[in-house]
Amino acid sequence: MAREFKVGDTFRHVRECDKYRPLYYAGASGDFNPIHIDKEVGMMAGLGGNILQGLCTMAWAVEAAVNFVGDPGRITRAKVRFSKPVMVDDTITYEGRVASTEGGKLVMEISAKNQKGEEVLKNAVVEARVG
Amino acid sequence: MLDKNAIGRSSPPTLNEVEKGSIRRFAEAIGDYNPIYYDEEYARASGFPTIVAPPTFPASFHSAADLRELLGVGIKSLLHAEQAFDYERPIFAGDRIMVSTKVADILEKPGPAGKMDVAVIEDEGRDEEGNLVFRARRTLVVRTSKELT
Repeated sequence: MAREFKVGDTFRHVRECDKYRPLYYAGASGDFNPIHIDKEVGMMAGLGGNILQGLCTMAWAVEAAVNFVGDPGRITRAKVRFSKPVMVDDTITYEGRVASTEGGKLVMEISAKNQKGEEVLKNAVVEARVG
Repeated sequence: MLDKNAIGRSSPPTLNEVEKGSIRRFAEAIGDYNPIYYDEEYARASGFPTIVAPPTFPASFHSAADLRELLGVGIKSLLHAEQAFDYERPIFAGDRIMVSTKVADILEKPGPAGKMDVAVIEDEGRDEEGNLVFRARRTLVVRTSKELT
């Protein structure tokens, strides 16, 4: 039986950026920009250390939506703005909400905040086909 | 200031072969252990022809584009500000996807320390029949030399 999604439905997902996460992501994505894998380069850039690839922060937001929808094949669109770098040891909490279900399209708005409550993503939206 | 003449510059399509091992490594790298990315039988039982790639997997694709060449600035001076993916269909193990990159736009935007140069880069992935599979748009902000020193 098809699952019903309603406006206002919510979901939550928590991810920690462990020390090696930027390295794993560099290996899998090919993004070896030193700012992600070399603490000293991050310090020199005034960031206080190496920062996680924004696309990994985004991948977790999409993962949150996939877990909610239950099927990665339904995702039709994902977009985010990177508002603050994610640092090693940060814990990111994703909170999603169904904003619309019109026309067989599920629109999910997702907030992503670090342990200090600062938004690391803005205007994060994932859309999925439903029905 | 970025050269507005760069708008429309593009790279020739480059073949990306989607391998099961690459999908597994990508899913592991983001810590996502959904069996649909690892287990062929599970993926088939879920209605797919084979293993599916996580939606942001195109982040691992390569194209012939050299951003330094396309934009005329160093890679290190670019900050990733926005990202969007649009999918025509899921990406599967065994897909052969041609990826091309173009400079979609160059603009000036107000920033915290005056005007910022912004470049919008669009990647497009097509299957071997030429059907669109995905589009990815990156918005990159050019950091000034002051911030780099």
